[in-house]
Amino acid sequence: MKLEDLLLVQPGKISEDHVVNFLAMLFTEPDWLRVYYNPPSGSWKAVNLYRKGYLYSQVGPKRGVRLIKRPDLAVQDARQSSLVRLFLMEAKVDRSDWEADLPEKMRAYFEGTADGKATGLRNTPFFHKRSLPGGPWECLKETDSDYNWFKDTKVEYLFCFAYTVGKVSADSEVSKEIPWLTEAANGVSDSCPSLFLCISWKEPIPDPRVAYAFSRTFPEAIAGRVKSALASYTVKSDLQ
Amino acid sequence: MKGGSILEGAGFLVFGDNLDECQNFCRLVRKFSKSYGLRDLGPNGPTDRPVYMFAATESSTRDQEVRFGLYPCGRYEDWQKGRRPYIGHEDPDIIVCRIDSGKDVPKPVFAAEFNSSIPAGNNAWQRFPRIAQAAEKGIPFLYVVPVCDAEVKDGNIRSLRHPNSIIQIGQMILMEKWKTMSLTIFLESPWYAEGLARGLATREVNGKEGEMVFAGLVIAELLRSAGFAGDAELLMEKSFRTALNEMLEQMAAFVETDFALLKGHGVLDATSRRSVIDAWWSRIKTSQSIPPRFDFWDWQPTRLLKAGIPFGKTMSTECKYDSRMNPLMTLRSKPSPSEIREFCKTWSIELDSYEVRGVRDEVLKKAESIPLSYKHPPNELGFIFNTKDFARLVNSVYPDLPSSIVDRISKAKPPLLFLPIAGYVMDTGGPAFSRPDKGLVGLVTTVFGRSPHFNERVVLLYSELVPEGWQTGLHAATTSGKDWKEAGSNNLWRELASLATIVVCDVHGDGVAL
Repeated sequence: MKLEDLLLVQPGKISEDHVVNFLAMLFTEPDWLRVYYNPPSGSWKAVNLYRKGYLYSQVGPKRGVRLIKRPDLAVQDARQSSLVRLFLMEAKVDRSDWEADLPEKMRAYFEGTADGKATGLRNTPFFHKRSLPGGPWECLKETDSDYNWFKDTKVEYLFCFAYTVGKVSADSEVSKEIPWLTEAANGVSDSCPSLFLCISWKEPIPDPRVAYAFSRTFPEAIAGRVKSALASYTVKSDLQ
Repeated sequence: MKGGSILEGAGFLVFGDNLDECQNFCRLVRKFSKSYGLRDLGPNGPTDRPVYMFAATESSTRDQEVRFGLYPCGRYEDWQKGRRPYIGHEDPDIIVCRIDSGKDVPKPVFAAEFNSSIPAGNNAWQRFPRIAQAAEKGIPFLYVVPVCDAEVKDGNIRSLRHPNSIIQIGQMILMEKWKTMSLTIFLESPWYAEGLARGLATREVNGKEGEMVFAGLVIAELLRSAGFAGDAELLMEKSFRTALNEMLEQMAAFVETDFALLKGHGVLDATSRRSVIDAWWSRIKTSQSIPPRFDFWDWQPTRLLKAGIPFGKTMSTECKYDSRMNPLMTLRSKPSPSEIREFCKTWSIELDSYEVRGVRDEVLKKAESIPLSYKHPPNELGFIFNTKDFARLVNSVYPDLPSSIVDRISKAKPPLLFLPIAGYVMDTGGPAFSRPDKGLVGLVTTVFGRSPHFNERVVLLYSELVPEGWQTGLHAATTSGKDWKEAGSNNLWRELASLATIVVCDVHGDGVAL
């Protein structure tokens, strides 16, 4: 069987799973470390964070009863060691699923809510750590200096909302999304630096195509890295 | 995109619950490819969903290279019905299919279930029907679990648990019956050290080699399907032996807590370990019969009476079964004189000849005609030898039960298999069938369903959420060719239809004979 023939075997529909999978394949090592992943049909609870050559493991809250939102994907900036920079992402099929309070709800998954009704991950000590790569698991005790390091460390949050227009036959179908992406990016609060991303798959062999926009406060250096990662998927007319 | 036409080999589609699990499966094969003599040709095609490609050379014919590619397809529901694989009424986490042309309907060659958290307690058996249905179809299956785990809620450790070895007992039976590989792979866990300290893990099974054994079994299946013979067979046998040895270690270590019926059985004897593995390998390779000394699924009545509780679970449902029936079916470890009197009256045991002191032991000795399990809260499973008194008890608690059902219970040839389950739970969207209970029914069907000794198998549903008209869904599940979903059926009814001969419903006080 030829490779091309295998690639022509395609699903009947593009779903949220394809969107979050694209993000997971894009924001990957060595630049980004996976902290948390919750694709469709998963109720993944394991949370990993990285610090000084160690992987720290914890079990996150499953649901937040409307007060918090588990991100579909969370990655940690591997180039940043003086603070923890987390990029929290939500994937949807349709852009109409965007809600203005989504970034704050995803942040609350880690920070908790001000009224204390939801406990954020930062308020929960880590149970285990292991040296990288693949060292033995160690149990953390209250007396260990790094027992509560995530609570004590500085954390910076970035956000992403991604959706899809599905399979397309022309790049222009993605370009049409730029006005909405720009408007959405301009509408978010300065405290929520965000990336808005539309993904499509150009037929017959579905190659990803993207259009995107950053909000005003999205850090330029990170935006540069994201643009670079997206370059090969960005339709020429959409280059920003 | 890169790669051109370099595959020119066997194509495999990897379907699953989501693309991440499919990609992880492919990456795991890649991680251990070199260890098993494969050449990693790298991912080819679109970067978000590449084909993971490998090449291998048969050791006996050095010049003949075989290539194969794994293509992650993502979740089942994104595919049209005719374009996705089915191996039963439940989809496992992964199904790998061989495909020879783009027009083929994918043909399953292998399946796996990854249980990443707490396959213990009432959840242990939740996924068992997936394991059983794969075996029935002759599809090799791997069930992957952490060697120890904890239930954590909001940062608090609720309990530390080991994976209940009932599943491995069920898999041993499935392999014997269907002559198809069905193994558990134990993976490393951060909780292992704590588990070891608390007797919930063993030194022999630490999960460190789990991923590698998993990859070995997968690669062997892929190579065999891609046209290799000798090398695939050797790798398969080596990996099978390692995995089965760990299963037997776990079963032996936890037999007393997980499944007391097997305590002291030769199949778990450490000195017979090699013979047991030889027997099961020969069974799946050449269909040889398992030696009678290792047969543990016949469940001779004399063994049932001597053994302890098969397995148990907790219960919090208010129902007539809990308040009226179960107290009369169980005798607590320190029963009061009045409890002893009630118990003995129910089960027609003459008390007069016993002294009050030490009466419990005497009663239990006498009571070879009562259920096996003596435990409160309710038993998970009982074997009723005194069917006449049991029928009287059932009738007193559920007076509206049709007399034909009561008569049938009364006249059943003992032992009668009795399985009380909730059946329904409150889910976020309202009442829904209980997934652990559905799995439990499937497990009991596998473990006890083949025995010729249980002519009547009575299931009691004690949840107050069992819907009105529940019999319609159950009957739909027994009728092939009918649209079972539209008739209100579900996977619980499907499993019950395979096991039960009589179903009694606590909240409605009615029942049906199947």
